[in-house]
Amino acid sequence: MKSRRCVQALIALAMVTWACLGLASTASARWGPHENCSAVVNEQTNHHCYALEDLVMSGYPREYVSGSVAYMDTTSMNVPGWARGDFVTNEVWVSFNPGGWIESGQIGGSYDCCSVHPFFAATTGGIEHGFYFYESPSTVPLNSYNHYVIYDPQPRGTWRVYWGCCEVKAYAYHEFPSWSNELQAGFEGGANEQPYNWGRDEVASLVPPSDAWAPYETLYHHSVSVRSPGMCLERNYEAPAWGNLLWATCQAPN
Amino acid sequence: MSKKRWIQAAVLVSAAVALAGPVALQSVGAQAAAGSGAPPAPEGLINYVPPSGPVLTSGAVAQIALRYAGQAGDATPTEVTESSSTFAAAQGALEPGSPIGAQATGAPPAAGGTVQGSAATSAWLASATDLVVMHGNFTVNLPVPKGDALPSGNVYALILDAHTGFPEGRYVGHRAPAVGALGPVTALVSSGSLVASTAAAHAAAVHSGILGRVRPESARGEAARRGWRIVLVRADGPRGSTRQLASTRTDQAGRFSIKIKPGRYFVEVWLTGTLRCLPRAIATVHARRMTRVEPGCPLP
Repeated sequence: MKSRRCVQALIALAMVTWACLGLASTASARWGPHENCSAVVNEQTNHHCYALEDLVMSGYPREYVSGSVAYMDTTSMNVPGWARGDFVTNEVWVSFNPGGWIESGQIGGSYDCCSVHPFFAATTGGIEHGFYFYESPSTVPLNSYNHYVIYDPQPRGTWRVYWGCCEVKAYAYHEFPSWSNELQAGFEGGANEQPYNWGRDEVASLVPPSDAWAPYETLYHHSVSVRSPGMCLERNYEAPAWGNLLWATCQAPN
Repeated sequence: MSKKRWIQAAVLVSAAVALAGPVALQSVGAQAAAGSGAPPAPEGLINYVPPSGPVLTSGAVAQIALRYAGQAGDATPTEVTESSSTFAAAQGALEPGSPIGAQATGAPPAAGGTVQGSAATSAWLASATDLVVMHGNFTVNLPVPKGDALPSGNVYALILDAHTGFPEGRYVGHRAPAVGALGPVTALVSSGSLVASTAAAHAAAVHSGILGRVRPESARGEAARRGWRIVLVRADGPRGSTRQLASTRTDQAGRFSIKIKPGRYFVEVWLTGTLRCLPRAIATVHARRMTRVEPGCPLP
């Protein structure tokens, strides 16, 4: 009888300990009005926060593009949780649903709180195979429309990434489909602690066959704004075409 | 967030933009309106300046690698190796067919890709890096499109600048890069345990160290001292030794803290990869104690 009570007590103790550990593991810092923004990596779900414009297309042969141009202007950047892995990006994504994506833009938080660095990244043979992210030690200026292009020029088949003047990456021939069916551009925050970022962009899609620049709209759709709770979002009043945004993490730095 | 506060924020953004001076919006708009295609306008985003000064020790590389591993959900990877090489060779190993790596070896760029040649580009490709390859279970906090899962895998590889530890390249997935061609491979963690030399560096770093803050000596110094690099060099070692034993960066108030085993050390403050404050401070570290110093950095 005594040993049975002892076992029961041990089980109860184990359950209390397990519950405490569970609470501790889920009590990581978050921000946003519903604590909806975080950088949690212990589950597959992405809890990042976004403020962006999204152009979803039906794909070839009806709606498709050969790339995107983006001018990203980071007005303010401060990522207090940078030493714990937090980051903020102002960037453009070119997606090939369901076959992965290429992204490029500027990032803060990956090395210190406040400097802003250009980067590119992409899935490698599908996200199930891998993901490669490159960030330059060089910085880009604030309050400046910095130029990024993700583009598959003729004769097609090789997607390239440009920063300003220069090509910085060419993906392998036919590593990605020739046409993209989704473009996104704007803000992403992967942070447990409230970051501060204000910025704006001007973007264009590249429309085949001439690859002429166009706003984020097709004959059938225009882009839509996507805003996570906790983010502020407005059309870029200086160039209010589809796709052009002004965003902020709402709260001013302390 | 109330509408009023959002309007306030928008007004602040507008004010900041106005203060920043005119931006070439008209040219951006003109290009878009004209429907002109690529290539993009010439700008200089690649302003790479190669870092110099002391290179990271294996112990320092291990500490950086394990910090990234912990942030990726696996603080105890089973295997960690380090290979020293140029950036071009390291990226070539991580991203086979990369035009950056191909250009460095003199081969035609894969798929016709090019990196425009310049002194900065050449310095970038030739810069010294450490390629770290870790095996474990990782999910990495990196940017992804809305709705996509974070990248994960049992291989996490880092290309670290050999001088600063800047994480230039990060790969996560299931394919271990072929590092044999890069040169000697140093094991930092083997079968889940730190190898002896790394463990010694780690153990020494646990119980004692140096902390303090960079002393502001001018208004400019007060504003600029955040993010400076603090480097420890042995003071009682061979004369002229510049071997870096540990490093960190100052926070926004200029404070820093480095754990290191007992001994006498020079505390160096580096403003950039090539510019160091003079004179360097000296600190004596005793067992199980943190020694406080306040290195100065006179700026005009």
